[in-house]
Amino acid sequence: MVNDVAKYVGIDRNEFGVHIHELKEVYGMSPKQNFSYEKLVEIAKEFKLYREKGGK
Amino acid sequence: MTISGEFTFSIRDENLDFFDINNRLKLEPTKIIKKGQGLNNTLGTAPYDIWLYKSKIRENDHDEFDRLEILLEELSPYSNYIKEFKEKYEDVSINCYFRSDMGQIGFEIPSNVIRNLVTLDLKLNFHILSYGEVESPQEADNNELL
Repeated sequence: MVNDVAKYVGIDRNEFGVHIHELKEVYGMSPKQNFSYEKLVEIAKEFKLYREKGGK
Repeated sequence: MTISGEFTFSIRDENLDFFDINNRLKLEPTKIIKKGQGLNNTLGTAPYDIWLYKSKIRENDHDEFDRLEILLEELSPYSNYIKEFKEKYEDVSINCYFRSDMGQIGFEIPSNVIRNLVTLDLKLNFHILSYGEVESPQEADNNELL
């Protein structure tokens, strides 16, 4: 699913995977709390915009 | 190594005494998050205070759990403080963030790592992302798979 979203939005899946885990970490999410497909797409779009503006 | 990722020692609650934590754990936190802090537009502001100390898996590590072994050794001098934090705060634990190209994922946790976890009385949370690939027949032969 992460792979699919990365492809759909047009971002690197490895970087997106790192970003998802960073979000889980800073939001204090438990292992059983995961993002829906729709939420992943929103997160991916925001991530893509952030990277396009020069964010790391 | 087919798995990349990191291990994070995390203390989380709605209200942490960061001064006290930093004073007791003579470890430079990798990250400090304050409740209400802006983090991400999609997900909103931070719901918790979080103190984080991270150890990243390196490409040339012999085993995925090498970094966890080192992390636990770094934490062991503070085992009494960690026990106090566990009583005081909502969550004190180790998070393993694993990412793998492979759809089939397996790993072994060395017994000394388990022993150190028990001594520190810390739970181990796994967060796994798999990109769903399969090994080539050659890779499978090299791994002596059936």
